[in-house]
Amino acid sequence: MSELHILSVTKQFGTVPVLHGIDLVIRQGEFFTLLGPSGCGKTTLLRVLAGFLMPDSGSVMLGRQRLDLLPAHQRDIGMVFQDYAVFPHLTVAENIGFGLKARSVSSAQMRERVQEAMQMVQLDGLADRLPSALSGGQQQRVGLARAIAIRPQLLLMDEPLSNLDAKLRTELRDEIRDLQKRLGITTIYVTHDQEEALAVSDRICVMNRGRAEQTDDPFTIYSAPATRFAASFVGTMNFIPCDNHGASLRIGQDGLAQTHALQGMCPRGAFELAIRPEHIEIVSGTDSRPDGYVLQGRVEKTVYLGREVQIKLALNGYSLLVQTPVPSRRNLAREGDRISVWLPFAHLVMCHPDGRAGALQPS
Amino acid sequence: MMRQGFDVWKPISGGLWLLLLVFLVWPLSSVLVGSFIDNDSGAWSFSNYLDLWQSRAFHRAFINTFIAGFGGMAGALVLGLTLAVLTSYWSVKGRGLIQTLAILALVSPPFIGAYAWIVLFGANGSVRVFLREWGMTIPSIYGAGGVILVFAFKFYPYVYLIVSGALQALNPSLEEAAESLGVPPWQRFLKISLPMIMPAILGSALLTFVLSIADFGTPRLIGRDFNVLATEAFSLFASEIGGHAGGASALSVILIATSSVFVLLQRYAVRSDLYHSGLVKSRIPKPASGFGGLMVYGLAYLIVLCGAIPALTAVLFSFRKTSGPVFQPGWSLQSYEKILSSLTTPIINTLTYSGAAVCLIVMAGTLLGYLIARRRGPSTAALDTLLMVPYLVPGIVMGIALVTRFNVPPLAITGTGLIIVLAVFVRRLPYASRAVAMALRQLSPSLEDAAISLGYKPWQAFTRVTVPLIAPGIMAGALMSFVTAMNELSASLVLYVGGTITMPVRIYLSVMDGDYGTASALATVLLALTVISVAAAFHLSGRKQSVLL
Repeated sequence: MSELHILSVTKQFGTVPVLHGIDLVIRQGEFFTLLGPSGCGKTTLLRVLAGFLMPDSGSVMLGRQRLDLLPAHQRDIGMVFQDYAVFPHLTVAENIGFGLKARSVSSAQMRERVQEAMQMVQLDGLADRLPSALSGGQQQRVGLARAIAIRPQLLLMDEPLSNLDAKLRTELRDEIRDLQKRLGITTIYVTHDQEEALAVSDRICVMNRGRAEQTDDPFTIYSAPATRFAASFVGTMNFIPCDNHGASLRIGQDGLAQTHALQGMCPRGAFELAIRPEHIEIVSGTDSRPDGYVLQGRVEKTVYLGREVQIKLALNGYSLLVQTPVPSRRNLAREGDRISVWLPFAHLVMCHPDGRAGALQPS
Repeated sequence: MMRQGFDVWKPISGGLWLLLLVFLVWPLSSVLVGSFIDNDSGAWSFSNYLDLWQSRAFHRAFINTFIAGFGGMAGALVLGLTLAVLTSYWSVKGRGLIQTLAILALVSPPFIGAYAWIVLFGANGSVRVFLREWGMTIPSIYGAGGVILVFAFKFYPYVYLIVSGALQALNPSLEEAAESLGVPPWQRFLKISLPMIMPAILGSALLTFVLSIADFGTPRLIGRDFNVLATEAFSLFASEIGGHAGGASALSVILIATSSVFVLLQRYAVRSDLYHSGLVKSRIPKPASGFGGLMVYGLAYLIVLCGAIPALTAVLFSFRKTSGPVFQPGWSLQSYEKILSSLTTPIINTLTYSGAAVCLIVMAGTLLGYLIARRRGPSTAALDTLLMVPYLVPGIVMGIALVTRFNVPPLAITGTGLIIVLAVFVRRLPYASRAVAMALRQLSPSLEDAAISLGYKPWQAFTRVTVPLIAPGIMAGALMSFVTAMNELSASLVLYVGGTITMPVRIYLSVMDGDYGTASALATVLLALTVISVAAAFHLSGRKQSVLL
């Protein structure tokens, strides 16, 4: 086992480019997630790794081995599918042993390894069941056990949880994560669910329109998005349209005095400032503060969620979603109220017109 | 850059192309080319078409074909639609029996129908004789009316099965919604349900039209002077044998063209079947009671029993005492003794040829179905289109095409059993490959991907995962192909020689000779084999009616 190098991989379907030169290095034993909306190319990249699709150019190296030159069935890659792909005519045990049969493992050893894999995914006692007698979650456990039973060099998972209900999804998600750590198999996981990606991954690659937008650990992805797309796709983000004329800084439709600290940190021209709802704080009074920007808006809607409250705030030319811990009933903002909020500089993200994003640089 | 290694599906695709080109396109090209070659001079000309144009016999046959087609269609539509509506809206007891009787009518070959109606209502038919003793005379079955009657009772099950399928797929909430909006019952059916099942009605109607104009046995046996294009082509072919079959070829081309128009219309009608409702709760039929209930029961059972008359008659008459070709009072197994002593050849031939054809159909059909469902590409799309052709070509035309192409080297197989096998193979192949393609579309492609990722070569993934999963579907399709192969008359009639005679041909000849005892016994054997195969296919397919269509 060794590092996986994806080098300038491109792929077109007909005249439509799906992958524009993807370069990625996946470390040994890493849980690596490809995250993006449907059509971003994440599944295409996964199928290139599996060998079901040939890249138009570029190469894939696993250690010193040129993976993309091998036919799919010789790659020794375990794959878990979105629709489980459990063989309906074979029992649970036969499904899990299917890959071992192709590897001419002795029957005693096969029994042992099937047993072992079934225990790992908690399917003990179901060996002789047919898939039609299993729930969706159990079927996907079979799919998982079947993939790890061959002790693959690489484990690929294509949205394995998207057909399960919410509760089962988190449960199995944690199990997959634990199993992967225990076995130390290098794993590439495809999902469009950002929460799932944050929960399981060592590193995440955010993909959009066939490009890798940002590759980082979950904390960095969430707190320091490198592109506007990454900022918008992972978690909830407020975007405030701004324009720096030099003479004044326009925030939405409001003009801001030249003396404000914020202007010094902004480039000339149009851009957006982004901030997460939970980083906006409700304050009393309208006094400006040196470490942030205070503004006033009208409460348009409040949604009470028990642990927290979401407030939609209407401002001049834009709106903000604010998420705060629930104050006392007396303090609960009502529709029509005017309140002040504080946007700390430390949490503001600068989004440039070219799509790049980054922290606000103090002047 | 070729990175994936050898793709076994490329040579398979090539082989299938070759097969279809040699045994479908090449023979049909002989009909097309032959139709433009003058019988006397051997030069290119339109003389064959001009002769037809001036022939009054042709004019009559052309008009008669449409009379038979529209008549059969109208009759089948009235019967099938009535039965479908009755059994969908009212709970009629014995639904299983109704279905079985309808299916019996569907699978029993049309020429058995024609012959059974002759036995009952022919010149000396039992029913007519019986009625005559009571002083009643009814017109004999022969002629246009008889042909239409046979078609109506033979083809109504198509309409019944397709339309009741569509009615079942209809969300009953729609009619309930209309009811809550104050629409009275009759208008609910006319304004809500009828428009939604219209594609099914239209599609099944056109299907019965195509089947009616392609049928050869019925007009031949029961039509007397009522000649249609199919019978006319056969007569011309029989009289031209030895020389160029220019006239028969030209007639064949016209027959193909006519049936093509309606097959394409049918495809179009079925394609616009857009009304699918996702959540389907099943319709709860009203109990049939009182006078209305009596009418419902009477009508439903009248239709299916009349439809089953031919099959029942054949069985009944096979046990009657005969002296020579004439029926005598009383019962005996004489007819069976006769076929066992002197007519085993057609039975053995039929089983051998049908068995061989089905083996070929299963192999080629499975591979073709896989290509169509899983390997889309320009070559596969062209193959798929080519597979439309057998739907357009009536059996008699296929027979003529094969004879004219293969009676000279390099492939002089006319007069052998092989050519009969090939005729069935080519005609039935599209049904089998479509069925396989349909079964495959319901199977997730990731199953094969999973097997490949686990270390199996693509070909092994196909044979170890896909084939076992679609095997019941393949078997059901094979049995239905076996049924059509056994019952195939029109192509075999052109292709057979003494030693390669089949059961349908023997039955046809016996009826023409008036030897009804032998015909009944053979027909009963054929019917028994058919019913067993259909029952097995029905069982294997998980009781899906679509396997029968």
